[in-house]
Amino acid sequence: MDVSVKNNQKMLKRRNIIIIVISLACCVALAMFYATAYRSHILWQEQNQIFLNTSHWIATYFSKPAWLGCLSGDWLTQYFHNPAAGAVILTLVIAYCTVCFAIGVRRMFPVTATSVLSCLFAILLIACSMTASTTMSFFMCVAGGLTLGLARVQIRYGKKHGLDISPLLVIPAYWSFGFGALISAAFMIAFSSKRALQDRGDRSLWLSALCAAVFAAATPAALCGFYALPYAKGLLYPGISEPSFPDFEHEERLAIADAFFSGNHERAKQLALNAASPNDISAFYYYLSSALQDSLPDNLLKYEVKSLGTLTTIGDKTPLPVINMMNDLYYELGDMTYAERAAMMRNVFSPRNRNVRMIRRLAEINLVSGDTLAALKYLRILGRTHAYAEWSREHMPGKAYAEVESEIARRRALSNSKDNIRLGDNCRNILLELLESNPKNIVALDYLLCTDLLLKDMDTFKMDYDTYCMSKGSPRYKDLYQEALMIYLAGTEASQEEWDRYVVPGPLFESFRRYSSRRGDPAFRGTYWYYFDKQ
Amino acid sequence: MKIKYILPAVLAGLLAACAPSPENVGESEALPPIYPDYVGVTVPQNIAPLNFLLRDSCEALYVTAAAGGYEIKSHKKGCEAVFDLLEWKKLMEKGAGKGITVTVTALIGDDWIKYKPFEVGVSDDKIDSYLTYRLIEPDYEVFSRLQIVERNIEDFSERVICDYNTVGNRCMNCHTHAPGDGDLSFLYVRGEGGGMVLNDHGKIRLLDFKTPDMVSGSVYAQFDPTGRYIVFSTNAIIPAFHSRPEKRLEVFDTKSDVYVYDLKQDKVLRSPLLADSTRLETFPTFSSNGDAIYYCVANGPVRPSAIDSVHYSLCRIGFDPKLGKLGAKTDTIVSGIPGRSVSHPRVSPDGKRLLYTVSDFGTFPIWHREADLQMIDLGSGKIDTLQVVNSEMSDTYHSWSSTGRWFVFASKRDDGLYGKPYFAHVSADGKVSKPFLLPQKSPSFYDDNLKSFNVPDLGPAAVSFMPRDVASAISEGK
Repeated sequence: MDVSVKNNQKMLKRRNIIIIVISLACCVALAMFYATAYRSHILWQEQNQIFLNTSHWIATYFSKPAWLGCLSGDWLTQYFHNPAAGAVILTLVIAYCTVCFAIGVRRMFPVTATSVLSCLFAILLIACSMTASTTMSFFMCVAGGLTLGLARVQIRYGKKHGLDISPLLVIPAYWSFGFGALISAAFMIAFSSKRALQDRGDRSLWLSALCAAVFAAATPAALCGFYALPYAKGLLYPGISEPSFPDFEHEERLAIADAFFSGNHERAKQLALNAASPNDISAFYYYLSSALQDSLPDNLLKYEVKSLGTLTTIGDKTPLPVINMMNDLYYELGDMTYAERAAMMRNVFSPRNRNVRMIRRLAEINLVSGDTLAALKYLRILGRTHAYAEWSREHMPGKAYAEVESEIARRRALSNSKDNIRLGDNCRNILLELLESNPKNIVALDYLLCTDLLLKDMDTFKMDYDTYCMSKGSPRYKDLYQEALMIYLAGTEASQEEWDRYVVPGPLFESFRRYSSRRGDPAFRGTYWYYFDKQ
Repeated sequence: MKIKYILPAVLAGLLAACAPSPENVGESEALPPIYPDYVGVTVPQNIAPLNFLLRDSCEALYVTAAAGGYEIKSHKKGCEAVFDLLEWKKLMEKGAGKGITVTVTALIGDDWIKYKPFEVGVSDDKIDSYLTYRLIEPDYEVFSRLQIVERNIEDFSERVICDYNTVGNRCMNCHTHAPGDGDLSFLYVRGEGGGMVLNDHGKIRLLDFKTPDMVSGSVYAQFDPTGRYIVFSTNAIIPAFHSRPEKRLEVFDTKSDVYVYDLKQDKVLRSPLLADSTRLETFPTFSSNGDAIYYCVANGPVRPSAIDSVHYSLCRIGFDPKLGKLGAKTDTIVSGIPGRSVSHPRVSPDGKRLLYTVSDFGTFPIWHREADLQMIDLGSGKIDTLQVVNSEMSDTYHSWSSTGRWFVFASKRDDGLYGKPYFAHVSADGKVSKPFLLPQKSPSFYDDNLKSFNVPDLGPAAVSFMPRDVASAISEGK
């Protein structure tokens, strides 16, 4: 063999090894990124859907196009319950798509162009994965479309003239992978066009390209009536993801909400405190975690954003994270009616109108409210999932673990025992009802009093404090409430007897005397007096 | 033998070969804990196979169903009994007018247990073959991705007749057949530019008969027997929530009136007796020969804090279909009293009986656990409380089969949340049998399902329109 040919082969081999090593390194880096910096996004994918291991559930995927893309995507997503596994799965699928793309493009373009195009394609897919609404179904449809397109390219590669029926592949491609058929068709058109330009005498290649284009456009048109889809939606089913830059703010919010949902209130608080961009969601979970640790009054003025959620209403235009927040708030307060309403609402706006986190929450809500039949309904559904079957068994009425029973009993004691008709989600009324049912519901009490104080409604605060603390013989001695009471008493020129009744003598009272002569002094930042006057 | 028969036989054989066969079978005196509960029910002979599952953790199930010397079986691993459609049809023919005997033998742990066999009555009376319903989450306050579906209840085929994808994810509801005519019907698509969509044997058009003095567009409506008139109510509806979690939702009207629309003359017929501003008139329906309108009425105004004092009575007003004139006086058929508020009256096609819902108060029985069906004999005035039909949960949204021998209703008896279509047989002398749940191909369907079957309605034939026809009517406003 010629020496130069041998050298060429060596160089090619070396180049290939370098490409493989770089690609592997990129994959590892990408998986690490997903597993660490984008962990909550990965988990959110799993929490925002449900996959049931039943034949009936699987059969439902055939009612729309892209059944294989959606089925495989949802099936894989259930393993995102472990974010590390999710990170690996997502990386492998993106890598697979890129490899398919590269092999196909290599049949048409030289190495350098193939490398550049493949890199751009990989970047595009990674950018799509950064969008919170992107699902694995999208990636599986891309992968399926690429696979069928590549199969056609490989089959026809090197073949000369003759009847080419491969454009017919676009039809099963649409059935199985929805918009993935467009990718298959694009591959076919590009490949046939390239060959036709090379071999000018072969008109069948142009015909082949034309057929692929026609099938890609006509198949959704022919089937949109059957699938009850408008043409534009049917053509791009199950939906195209938009590329975006990593959204670390959203990741931060998801991480806080996840920590709270998993019961790690201290972590939720710390994440909220360390948030690079504090917002309503981080504030909400900071306060709710504090309330569950009996420290809402202690922390109310420590977070720069004030959002208790008690002034928030939800409807069909409400962002999903806010509906989640309201579900968490009412569940922790003990109002199972509105916790269930928010959970139902969140389900309705999820893919296929259900998500596993809210199914689990609905089971919990009905266990607490003693609606065993409804709880069983949700527990049976969870029993058919990969990740929650064990949780379902642990919560089965009559067979539940002792700690589960005790937690249900604790929450049941907080819930509403009286019936009223509510025309809207006026949280104040709900808090009052909860306190009427159980005056020892400290979380509800703190939310009521703290809402009054954030609104600077001192008369209402005093009335609520009297009703639920003084008249019950259990004054709540928290600095925040003491400071607020001092404002009220000073403002109403209360008698000494009143002062003695409400205020505990001590350093706080002395501090108030000093503040009274220096109102608005930033040295008193952090007190309710300063908040009342200045913020 | 044709391939279509060979293939299922081979597959069934393979499945049976995989499942262990009963041996050393022990007998139990207990009835099998099956879901849906088909023990002792009466079914029409044209019903789809009654597939069911055993609510026990079993390894395999061996089920036989026999009638007139003919026997079919389901032998599978797992807890589900699924029958072959063709064999089932033959079994129904053999059992028509008598019944079938079902024997369940289950492998539980290492032991085969044979439960006490149970009977299923098979009536000669056929039921209308098509059932339409809206699929919606039970929280009516919000919705997304609604569909109205038509199911052939002789097998398991179903098709969507109105779909969220084609009408812009809007609210839709209440597909209602004309009496005895499967392809004359209407449904509602709500929201701007929406309204009542009329299906006149495949010709779809949007009806707009709202006038400025009406409190809303039409809400509850029914055809007359000729299909010429539609009686409807307009309602100012307020959704609310109970603070007690098990009571969940309350919906009430602050205003409501009743009118008749003449499709032939495109004219609304009115009577001050049906649009009294001091009263709430709603839930209108025609009598079986169209000479009267039954409706419900309560005294207004309604205060949310006193909703439990609102009780609707069942009333009747005469109607002359030839002249298109409403009567000059009304009669009270059933008085609304505390603990008995009447809603959703439906007259049987033979005109002998009227089926309605009673609840403690108000106008939205689907969320009232105590809501039950009752049936009044219009000749004698005798009320049947239908104890064999009703449950501890809401039973309402009923409609008659065109033969008058069956009715369907939505019941929340299984979980208190999700309405499911149950059917009950009414014999010629008015005796009602234990109802049964609409069978599904997969017995675990209802366990996984998170949608209510809202306002089920029976029709003798399939409607001939498609979702895109509804979309066209809405987009063109015609």
